[in-house]
Amino acid sequence: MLVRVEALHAGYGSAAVLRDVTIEAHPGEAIAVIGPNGAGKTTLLKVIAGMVRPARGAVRYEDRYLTGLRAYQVARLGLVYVPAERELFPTMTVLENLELGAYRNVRAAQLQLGYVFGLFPLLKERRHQLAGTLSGGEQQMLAVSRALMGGPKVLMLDEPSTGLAPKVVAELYRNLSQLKAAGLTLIVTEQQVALALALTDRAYVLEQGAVRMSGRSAELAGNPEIRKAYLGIN
Amino acid sequence: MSAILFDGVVQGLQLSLLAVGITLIYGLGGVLNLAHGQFAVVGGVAAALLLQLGFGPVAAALGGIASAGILGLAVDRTLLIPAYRYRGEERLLLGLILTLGFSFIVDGTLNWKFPEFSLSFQLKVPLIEVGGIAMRTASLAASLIALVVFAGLFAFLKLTLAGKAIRSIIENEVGAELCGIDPARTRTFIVCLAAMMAGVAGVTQGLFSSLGTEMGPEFTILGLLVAVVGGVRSINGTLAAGILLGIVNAFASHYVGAYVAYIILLSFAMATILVRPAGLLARFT
Amino acid sequence: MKSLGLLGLILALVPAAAGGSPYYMRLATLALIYMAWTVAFNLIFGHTKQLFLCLNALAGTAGYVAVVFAIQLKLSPWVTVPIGVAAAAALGALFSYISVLRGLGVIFLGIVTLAFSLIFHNLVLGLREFTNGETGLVTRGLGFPLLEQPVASYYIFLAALAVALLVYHALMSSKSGMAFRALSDDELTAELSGIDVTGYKVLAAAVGSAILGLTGALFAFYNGIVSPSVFSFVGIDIPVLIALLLGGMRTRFGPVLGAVAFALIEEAVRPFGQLTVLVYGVLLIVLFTAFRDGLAPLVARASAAFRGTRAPATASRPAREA
Repeated sequence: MLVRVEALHAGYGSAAVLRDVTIEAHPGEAIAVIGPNGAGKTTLLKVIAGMVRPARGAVRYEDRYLTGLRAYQVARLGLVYVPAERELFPTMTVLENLELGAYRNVRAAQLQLGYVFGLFPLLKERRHQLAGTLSGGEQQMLAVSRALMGGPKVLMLDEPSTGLAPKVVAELYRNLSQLKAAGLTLIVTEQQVALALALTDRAYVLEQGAVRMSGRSAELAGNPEIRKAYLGIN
Repeated sequence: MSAILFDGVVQGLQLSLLAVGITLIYGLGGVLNLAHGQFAVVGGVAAALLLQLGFGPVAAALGGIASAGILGLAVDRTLLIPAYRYRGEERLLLGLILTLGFSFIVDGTLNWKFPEFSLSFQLKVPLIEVGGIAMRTASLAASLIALVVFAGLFAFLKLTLAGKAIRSIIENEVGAELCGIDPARTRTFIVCLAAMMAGVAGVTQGLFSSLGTEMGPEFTILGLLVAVVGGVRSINGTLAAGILLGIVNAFASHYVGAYVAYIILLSFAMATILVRPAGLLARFT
Repeated sequence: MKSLGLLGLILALVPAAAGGSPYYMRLATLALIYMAWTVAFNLIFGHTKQLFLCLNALAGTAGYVAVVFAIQLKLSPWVTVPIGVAAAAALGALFSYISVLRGLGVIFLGIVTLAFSLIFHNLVLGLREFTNGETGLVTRGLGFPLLEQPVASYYIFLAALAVALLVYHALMSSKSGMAFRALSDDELTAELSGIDVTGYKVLAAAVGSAILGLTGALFAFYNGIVSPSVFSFVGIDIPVLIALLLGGMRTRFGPVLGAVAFALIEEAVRPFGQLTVLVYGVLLIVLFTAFRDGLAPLVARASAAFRGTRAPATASRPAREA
């Protein structure tokens, strides 16, 4: 196993958001975390990324515990998080954003840049454009690319389809498939459940801060409860 | 007319040197440094002491600048620790009070130890003709130094990865951390750099005018005004604001009395803050 | 209310304890003046988070207006003092209103008011024909004889302080008090709950500025001279800030305790001369890192322990993110 979250309890102030959550991802696997708004999906990713301290429980990565590490230290270990807000640098160019993504591994920067431009030729075209002037879809591409620049082992994406047109989402997920095929471990949270289940090997259903269900994505996609609640199929 | 303009630009560049430091410390540390003017004074005092010890002017100046940098390092590593434990407005307020208190301590100490102090460099050639206009060599030298420092700063920020990392932290600290950038280490470096720039301002003040130990608060306030008018997160804005306010001050001082000029300057700054709180060149708020 | 009466009684007895020494009478009177100013700052900054760094300018505006009008227009102080108070209150309300309108944060308001403070200083110096610039104006014989006698002055300022504390009490026990508490906790939530945040902030600023102005105007006559250094930033804003921190923000008697504590410290430091500024610096740093809540809660806890009851909880520390 590559990443494992054990018996996690986390929240903000006195409000508990995650209760006793255990999730794991194996090398090369793609994991989906689905569930309604407010279920705690974002909090889960933020805890793994080191942005939120858990009240109880632990996060394990390879053979170490990530307890107490700051966000930048987690990123340097190869566990890269792409938040829903993307957190790009709007007055810096696409190229500069990408260069900064390679901060933890400057030597691999050129190679990764070639790879990223191959994956998203549009970014190569716009490489001198300011990130703040890109469209929503392009910004998402940039956010994912920036995360790839450091050569991560695990990529975590929080609701990557948010605010994007269907065609753009389809292309994004095609690219994510390619990344998965290349051996990258993915953890994706999504509201667009069908997409997430199609992309991933296994999935966890998070409701009200607890894991209600888990299993192979293909099986969950066929599960009548899931179909009714999340896929709108009766 | 052009002499006044030139004067304004020279003074403006000095203000910008101070203001850029305040902008950098605010952008990276989230703290408004009310002791910034004291860095300039300490730099000047150290330079003067070195001059007294027999060092040449260039060595003394560099020594003064280095001293300012060391003080900045000490402040970041000790005084501001309580402030860095918090975030956002709490950190801002606490940092404000801590640096204010420190500013008093330095001011009080310097005025007590060096009551009659004044730093002033004498140049061998007092006047130079450039393009038919006679200028004071000192003013020219001071502005050239300031321009060189700014050019260096811009080059560093624009071209090097470390500089880009600094810009990225100012722009979006969360995003920077996600790229693996350590904000705390970078912040210490920047406070040191900002303090050294203030040291340059202090030394050049001694070049084209004279530096007294009581000038700390005045430097801080002017630097603060320029930084806020230029936008506390924009370095380009700060440079522009400094030159602009320097020119406004020069013209105002020339045509009306000193007090009224100061009032005009302050009112202009206040008005700018009220009309464009995000700063002169703000684009993405 | 009972405690207010007790405080009033204690303070009223001070002149007797001073035994007629003009030095101690002046000290005690100054303490009263700073207490009133600190009560005002408690309203403006303590309760509604408006960082006014122009207390000296507000008090000074009232002072100069009252004195200059009395001299130039030959009006009685009974007329000019209210005009001065109105001027101060209007300015304070204006700054508050503009800052809320433009959405200025705490720091921006601080910088704008600091700029105003400097403008005030330079205006006074620049309007030489009226203010006599750096030298200042003599304020004796302008029709306020009571303020030229030490004991009478003390009681006048005691009355001013009483007014300030009563107004504070009235505000805090009314709807306004609840509004203040709500908006100092979380302005956005207060706004969304239907509380007129703008109105209450401006109210706090106006009332606070009025108190600043009243005390400032009276001080101008009491002091015998009014000059820029009488109403300086370092002489007023910094001590008031320290006094409020020392005594405890958002408490009823914090300002009083803080001003007394500060006066004692100042007396202790006086022999050092130049180094008083240094002490201010150390105080600020120590206070803000060690004694965030100030003396008032400590005193409250001590007196509660003495009486065998439990004291109310102090303000909680802010949450720390990961």
